Amino acid sequence: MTGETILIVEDEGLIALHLTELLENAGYNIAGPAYSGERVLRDIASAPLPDLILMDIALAGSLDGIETARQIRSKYPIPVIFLSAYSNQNRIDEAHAVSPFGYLTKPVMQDDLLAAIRGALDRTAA
Amino acid sequence: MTPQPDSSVSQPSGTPTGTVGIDLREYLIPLVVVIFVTVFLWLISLYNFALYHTTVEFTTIAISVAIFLLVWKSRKIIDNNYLLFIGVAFVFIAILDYLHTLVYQGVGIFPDGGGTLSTRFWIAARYMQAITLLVAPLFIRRNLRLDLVAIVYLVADIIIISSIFVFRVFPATYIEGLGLTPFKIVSEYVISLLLIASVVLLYRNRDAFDRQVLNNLAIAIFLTIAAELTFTEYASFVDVFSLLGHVFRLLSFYFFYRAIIEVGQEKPYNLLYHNLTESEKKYRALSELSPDAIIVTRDGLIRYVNGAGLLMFEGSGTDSIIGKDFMDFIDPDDRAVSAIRITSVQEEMGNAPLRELRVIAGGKSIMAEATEGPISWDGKDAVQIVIRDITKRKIVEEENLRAREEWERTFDTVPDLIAILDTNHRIIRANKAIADRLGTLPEKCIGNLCYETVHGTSVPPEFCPHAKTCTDGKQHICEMDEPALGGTFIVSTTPLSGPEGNLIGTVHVAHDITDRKRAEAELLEKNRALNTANEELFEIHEKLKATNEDLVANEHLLVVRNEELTSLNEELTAAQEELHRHVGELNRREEELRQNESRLKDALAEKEILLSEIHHRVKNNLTAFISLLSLDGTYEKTDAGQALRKDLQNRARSMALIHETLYRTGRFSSVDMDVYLTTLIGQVAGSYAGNIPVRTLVDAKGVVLDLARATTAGLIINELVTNSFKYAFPPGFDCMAVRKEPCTVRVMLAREEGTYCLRVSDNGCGMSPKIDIASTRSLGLKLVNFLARHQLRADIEISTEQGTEFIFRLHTINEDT
Repeated sequence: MTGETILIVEDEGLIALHLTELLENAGYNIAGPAYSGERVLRDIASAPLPDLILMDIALAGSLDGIETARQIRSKYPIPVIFLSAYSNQNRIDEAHAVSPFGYLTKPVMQDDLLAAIRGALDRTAA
Repeated sequence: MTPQPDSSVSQPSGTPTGTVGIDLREYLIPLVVVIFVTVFLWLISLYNFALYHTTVEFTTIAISVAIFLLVWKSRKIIDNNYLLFIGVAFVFIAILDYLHTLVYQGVGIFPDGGGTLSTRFWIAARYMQAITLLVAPLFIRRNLRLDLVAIVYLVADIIIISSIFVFRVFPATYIEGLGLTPFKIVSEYVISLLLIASVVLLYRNRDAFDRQVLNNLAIAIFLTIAAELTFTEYASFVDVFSLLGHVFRLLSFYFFYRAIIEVGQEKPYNLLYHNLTESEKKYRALSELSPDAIIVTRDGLIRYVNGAGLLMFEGSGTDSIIGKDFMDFIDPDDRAVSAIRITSVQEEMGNAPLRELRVIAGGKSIMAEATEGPISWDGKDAVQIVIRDITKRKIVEEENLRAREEWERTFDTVPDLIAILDTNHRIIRANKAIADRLGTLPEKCIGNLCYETVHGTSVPPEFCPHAKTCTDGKQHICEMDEPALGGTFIVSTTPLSGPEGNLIGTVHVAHDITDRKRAEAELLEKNRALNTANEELFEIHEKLKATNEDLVANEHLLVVRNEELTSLNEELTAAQEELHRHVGELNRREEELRQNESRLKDALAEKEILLSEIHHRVKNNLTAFISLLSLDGTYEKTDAGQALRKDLQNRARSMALIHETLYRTGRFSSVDMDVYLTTLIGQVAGSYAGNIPVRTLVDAKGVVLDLARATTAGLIINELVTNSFKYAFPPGFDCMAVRKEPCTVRVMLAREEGTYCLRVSDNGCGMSPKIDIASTRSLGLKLVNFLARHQLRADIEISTEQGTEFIFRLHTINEDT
């Protein structure tokens, strides 16, 4: 058990359920999952801050994952790993602008995901 | 000519008529005529002296004859013997003058006559004329027999003519070559003396003459003397003295003419009746003075009529009516009565009373008044009738009658209430207006006491103006309200005096001013209203003034605004031009947009095709995946493996069915849930068809969900319906026995209170109450719980009373965000 808490922000239910089971099975505590940027920004201050945020770029609501991450990052030093079905370079460039700790393209491979999470948590801890 | 009644007749004899003996104006015109005639005669004498002489002499002869004819014809009524005498004598003198003219030199009737014969006849005639004028006054108061006079003068004429023509003893008067003889000249002086004496005698008897007659006679005699004296001087028959002498002679006869003929025509009484007896004079004077006609009749004929009578009956002179039948002048209808009255007067010798009758005057019948009385006329019984023309009086009487009637009508027509009251307040007369107000007749008011009749009091009221007028004799006016008369009145009482000037009553006039009072009150009220209106107008005026000032200020402001607007207008014009440019640009862009729209439509159509193709491809891929799951070896051929394969296939089919519904319905972003769920439930029911028949009911009419929620809802419904088919109706469960209905699976999706409510139920045996959907290890229920909460943001209710029922209340996306 690693014990770190990961906030999953994903509007697609089956993917969110899959990620939740996968990360819980990997020993992480799961916060959420949240399905919109607005709800994340509203709820983040009322609960213990997660250690990492796994953020889908395309979200329900008016805020996308990049903007949500930028606002969170402007206030909290929480590492963010983007998940996206997009492989468009422009979107990737936009995501990099908020200094993410990883950018994974769906469908994501289990090992790649866990490695990216582990690396991000370790870099943050360092 | 009708003789006019002359006041001189009434004068005592000898009293001069007028203030001057000779009226110069009376002689002025004749004098001018004489001068003219003289000149005319002189001119004739220049042409032919004999003609001149003849003309003069014949004129004097004609006058002499006229005098004779007048006197002779009136001899019976002429009472002046002087005039009778000279009238008869003048015609015999005229015979001598006629012969004098015939034998005058140059006439040529007696070749041997000439100046000798003519001057002898001249002297003889002049002696005869002088003696006549000298002797005539002697007969004024003596009886005169004209026949004897005529005989004497006739004899005298015969003697003279004989002495000249036959015996030739008449002294010579003119000798050719020597001129006039001493006899002739002396005779002229003697004749002149005789004439002077005649004038003296004439004036001594002047009482017998009218003044005018006397003066004319005297002038005529003096002119005769002048002629005689002139004839003492001529040396030739044709010299200037002869000429002048004849002029004097002509003039002298002119005055004889005036004295006798002219006065006799114009004032016959002056001339002819001057010597009537005193009583006759008085009678005539009285009768001539009378304005009434006085007629004396005897034997039915008119014997006398006065001047007024002549005027009335329009006779041309005394002779025109005297001697005519009196009844000719009486209206035929009144003749019988008139005759009886005259007879009665004659028989009874008494005066008849005054009566009215109609007389014929001027050919018309007029109204007259007459009285008859006896009178003696020429020593015989006669009747004197005095007739008074009462035509004017009758007219006046009729006018008075009409005036009285008119006054009475006026009295009754006047709207004022008029009554004449005596000093005892009794009504003497009342007009119709006051009687009407009192509800009675005017005649019934007479004799009543005014205060009882009008005011209904036993004594006169205190304000009574009549009582005041009776006290002080002055007019009084008061205003009163009298209910008995029905109004307000101004009452005036004017004193009424009797013939002796004493107060006998008053004229009581009541003028109804009820309407005026009412009008005054209304006027007062209107005046008040006007004053109020005026004040309001003043206020309005003030306000208007203030408003006007505001308007002036606003006007200035408007001017400024107008300038600003002008400026804005210019800017607008510029903007409009700019707008025109922009419109052009917009048109251009619209055209571009139209082209873009066309391109977009093309692109959209292409994308719709692509989307349809994509959904079709996804559905095919999922179908291929389902098919892949059906291949042998994919799962173990155990019951669990087969069940897992079927679950996966159903889950993939529910997703594939979404895409099929999208491209079938032509919608690519929203799903018609009724179509989708009906198909989905049918497929699930088909895959689990078993021994127990299960009825499926789907109701999602009108519900359309976006693609994400439709897919999630499809997965949830697929899981729950699958569970119902797998676990709700175990073998031996009798739905009809337990639920009183066939085995049924229901799916209902509907809008409720602003959100969507999804009910998935069955009437089966019901889910175990031990199952906690939040912590269950069952993949199906885990999916249901997770997807419902995470993806649909729905609250979940579970009921197991009548089988199993899941109720999901979906939050909206906006609410969630």
